Amino acid sequence: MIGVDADYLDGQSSRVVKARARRDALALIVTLEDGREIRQSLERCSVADRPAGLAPRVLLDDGACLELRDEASLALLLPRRRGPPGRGLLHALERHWVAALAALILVIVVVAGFLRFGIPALAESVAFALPDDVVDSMAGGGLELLDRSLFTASSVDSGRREALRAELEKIGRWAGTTRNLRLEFRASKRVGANAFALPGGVIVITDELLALSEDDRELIGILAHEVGHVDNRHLLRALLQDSATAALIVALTGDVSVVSSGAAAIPLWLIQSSHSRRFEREADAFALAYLDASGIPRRHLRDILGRLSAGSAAPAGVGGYFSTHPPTGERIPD
Amino acid sequence: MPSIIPVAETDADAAAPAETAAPFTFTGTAGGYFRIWIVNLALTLLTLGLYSPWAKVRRLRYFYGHTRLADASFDYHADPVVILKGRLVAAALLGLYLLAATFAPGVDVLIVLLIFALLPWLTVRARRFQLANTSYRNLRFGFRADLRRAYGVILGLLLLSALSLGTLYPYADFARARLLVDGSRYGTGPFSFAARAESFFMLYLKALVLYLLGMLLLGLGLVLLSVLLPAAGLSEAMRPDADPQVIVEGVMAALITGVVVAGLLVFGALAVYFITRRTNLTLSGVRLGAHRMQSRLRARALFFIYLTNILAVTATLGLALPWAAVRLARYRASCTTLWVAGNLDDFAAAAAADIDALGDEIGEVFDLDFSL
Repeated sequence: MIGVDADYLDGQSSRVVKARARRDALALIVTLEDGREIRQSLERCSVADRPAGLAPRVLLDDGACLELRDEASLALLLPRRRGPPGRGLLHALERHWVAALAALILVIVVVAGFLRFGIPALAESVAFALPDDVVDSMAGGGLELLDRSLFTASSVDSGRREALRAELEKIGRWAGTTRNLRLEFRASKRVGANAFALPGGVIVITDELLALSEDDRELIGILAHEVGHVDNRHLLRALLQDSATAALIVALTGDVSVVSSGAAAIPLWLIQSSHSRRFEREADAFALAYLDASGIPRRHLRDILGRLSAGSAAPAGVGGYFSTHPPTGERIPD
Repeated sequence: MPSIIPVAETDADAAAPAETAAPFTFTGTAGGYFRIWIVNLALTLLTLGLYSPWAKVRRLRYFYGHTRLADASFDYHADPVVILKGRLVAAALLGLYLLAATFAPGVDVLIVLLIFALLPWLTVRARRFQLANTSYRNLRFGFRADLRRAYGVILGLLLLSALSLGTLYPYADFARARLLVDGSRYGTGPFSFAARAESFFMLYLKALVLYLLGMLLLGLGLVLLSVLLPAAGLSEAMRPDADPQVIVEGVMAALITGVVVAGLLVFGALAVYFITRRTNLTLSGVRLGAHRMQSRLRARALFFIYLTNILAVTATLGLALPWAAVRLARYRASCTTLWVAGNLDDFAAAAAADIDALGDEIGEVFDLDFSL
């Protein structure tokens, strides 16, 4: 055997000694440039666990090592590699583009699957495991904050308020919800016609929405939709999901600290919109179940949602991934 | 012959050895690192995170192994099992902290104070772990620092700079860098730190002036915008059915977006300028015996790299991370030189020290900065 070129690094000094390495039946033989010869039995030679793409190193006794030029030299010297377990497999995975492609597909499937199914399921079980008063105490004071920034006092008369509150109570009884439901009336030019479920079971409905409705049965559909949000703990679940998603993205990209911060914002936002649309569908399903149970035709809810989306003038054909609500046409089937 | 001043024994000794430039180079490639990165990521996901210490070691081995100097490379030797143990301890501490923060207000503050009090010890441990597991030409680096000095420099000077309203912070920063450098060694060869405290004061002063200038610039831009935008929106406002509130909101939104983008660019550039200069100052102060380091990073080039890295990583949903990391490593290496006095062949190994990874990994979980 002719032998291969190598660098001998003795581990005791910073000297790089040029060497030739060869092998006989029992031992690795290293001839240094000053003529010295080092002989080590093949049993005691092992291969350093370095990732693919680096010059391979053979570990010798006393902390010395032999740095070879390439993998071919290693194959020639130690055809039966003795490295740490799994070294050969890892090395092969890192060397081949096919393996990289398979790993890439695996990563995409696992991450997408976890974001789509894993995190929502986890958030749901955590949200329903928490007692009501914990849920209500979280992010309390939401209404006070909105009163200062968005809302003005409502001009709805007390008779109508009482009638709608009675309807809300009926919905709560029907659902058997354990949450405290409270209906509040506000006006807001900026928000326009809309209704919200806030933390603590508070439901806000705007004067603009009341003006838009042509039939109180439409408003019952809207109230049932908001009760669907409260009863399914959507606010808490959204909070849990969004923070878990952010944590996952940080964990995945935190590998390189250089670019972690700004890079995750857009995917995070896309994922959050998709979670929000799922909650809207759940709330719609809840509302429809209530309407069916109390004999109110579904078209009332469809009518007011139609008027709402016509008023907000959301451009048609905008990709579903960018909006927080599903398209109105899909929401209320017959 | 005893003498009061050193006497040169031969003429050859008297003459300083010739200095030659040994540039650092980074030979890794985006394609090569991508394959290691994606395999690491897949295995980390499949093992629910347990593989991450192995992934870290392979990543560092790739980067160290491709960092070359004077025809030889660096290597990283940490034992993943040790790192895993450290991470488990750190994760338990983090869990304890989160539990305390939820259920026992007050206790979490105590934990933060405790970690703060342990900061010098953690810093020293992390540095020791990092250097003891780094080798060049198969010879290990090392780090040793007197713990009392570490407490004085890291905690004492930090408190002092707080008391002096930050005016002494540049000195605290300088002393910390000096502690980390002059406790380091390569084999038995000691490092020393030749940067001067005055340079740190000058750097912080310049950064402060630039920061104030940036604020001024942003303020001016804000004033200009608030004058120009309503003028531009005037034709819109002339429409009979225009809602004044809508116009005001549109102008506000445009203003806020403009200010945020301009602010990010201005202060991002400022941060990059500071990082660049501080790195140059610190690295160029590093001496290993008679050899000296030199760093010539340029703020403009670095800012361009960071900016395009962020854009590329965002556009590819993270897939360009390996390319971004390799590109940055290549630029940083290309700006670093070791001026070698004579040659690098005569360092000898020190007695091995046994070190576990606790300090290192606690630092990582709590996101402390242990860098130079």
